[in-house]
Amino acid sequence: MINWGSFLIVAVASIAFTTIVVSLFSLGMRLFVNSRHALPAAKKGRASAVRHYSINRLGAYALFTVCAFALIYGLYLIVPYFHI
Amino acid sequence: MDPILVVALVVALALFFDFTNGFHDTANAMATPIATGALKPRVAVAIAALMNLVGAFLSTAVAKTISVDLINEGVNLGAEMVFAGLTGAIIWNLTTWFLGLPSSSSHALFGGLIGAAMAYAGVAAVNFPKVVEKVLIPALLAPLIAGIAAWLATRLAYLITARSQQQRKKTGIGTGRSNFKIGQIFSSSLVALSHGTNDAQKTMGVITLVLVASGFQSNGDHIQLWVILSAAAAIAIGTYSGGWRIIKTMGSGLAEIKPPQGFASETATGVTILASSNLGFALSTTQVASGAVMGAGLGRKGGQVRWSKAGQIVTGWFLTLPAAGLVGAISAFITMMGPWGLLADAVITLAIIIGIFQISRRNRIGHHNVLSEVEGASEVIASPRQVRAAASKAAKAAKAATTDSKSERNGKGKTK
Repeated sequence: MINWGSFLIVAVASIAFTTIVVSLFSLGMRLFVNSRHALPAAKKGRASAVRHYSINRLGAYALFTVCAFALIYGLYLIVPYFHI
Repeated sequence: MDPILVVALVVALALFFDFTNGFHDTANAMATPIATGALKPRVAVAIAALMNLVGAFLSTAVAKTISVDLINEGVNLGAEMVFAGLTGAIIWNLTTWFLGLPSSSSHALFGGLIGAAMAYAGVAAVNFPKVVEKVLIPALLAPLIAGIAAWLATRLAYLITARSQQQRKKTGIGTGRSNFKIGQIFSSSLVALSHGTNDAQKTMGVITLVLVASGFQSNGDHIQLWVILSAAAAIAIGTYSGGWRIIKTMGSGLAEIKPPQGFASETATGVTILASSNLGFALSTTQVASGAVMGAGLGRKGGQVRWSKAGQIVTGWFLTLPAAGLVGAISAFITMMGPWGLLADAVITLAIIIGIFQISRRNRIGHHNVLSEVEGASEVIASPRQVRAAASKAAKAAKAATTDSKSERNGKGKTK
């Protein structure tokens, strides 16, 4: 018979993990574009703009790093050498 | 017939199946990055080929455990039977490729073997409840899971990166959505790698099965190096040659895909395959990828899925097992006619393969015209540099024309 339990686990894990990774990447993209918005004013040396720029840019990089770790986790799962 | 000759024929056929497996499945990973322009067609298939090559060497765990549990125990899979099964799988794979339909290569392989087993040992050889459990129900569930995941992820990606028209106009900075192309390179490569660790293994498993059955290898505990090398090479060459017809279907025939959708659908494909292979509910890569493309297609506002195409694809999935099985069974009956039967079967199969390739040449689809719509669009939308170059060229030409006509007039004046 069909193992509905394991099917449900696969379904929930797939949907949850996909939406989380894509959301984090999208959020990173949003912050990245935010930082570009602040760039012209920041170049003129306005303190608030500089802060706005660096916070958004750092946040974007942090989120992209999290996505990179998700990729590395995927590689870990693919390559049996790592977990046997 | 000499057993060495039989085994050689089976190995050759198994490697050719591996080749068709490669070019059938290039689309799973690379159709969407090609469609969005994240990767150039040639570069995309090169990456996919490399990932498949590397993947084939990463593990032989799948190959060792290959068991066709759709066929009841006690039925012996001999070399001739595997030969007949492979012909069924190859002919069905080439047919679906010709029609541009993404279909599961593993199901084609299982179908061919089932058909051959039925021809040799009767209908009782097949474990039908297992067929329903392992093939039919997953074919419904795989696109459903991946489709929901990709749909939800696409919705979220658009929601999170949305910016008002006003803001975009004021700053001249867009939504940054085209940058999803960078993410696509990684997500599609991951899908290609996971494909390589699975599919080349099936061919290695089949070859080893035959080597053991014919007494060339004592048991199936290890895979010989030449088997690994040749199977890895065959799937990589197959992948690099690109199943452009299927890439066209998945990249632009099923739904129009933009970078955030491409990223969402590839991530959904990769995640669902990894979840299914690690959490114990086997799903077909092709079906997962097709479902993800459909989900992503619906996720964008105004996005559409061409349901007639989707219907054709799903019909293809349900036909794969019986169709490959039918060819496998016919092929098995021919091989049962004795040593000349096997040879005749090989010749007929070769003729059909060449025939399909010949017919396909009438309307060739290659890397140059795989996504003519996309390329057409990029020709219409010229870059600023191109516009400037064209303008200066036109200005020069105009200047040259006026000086020409002046000198002409001058000349005429002199003669008068």
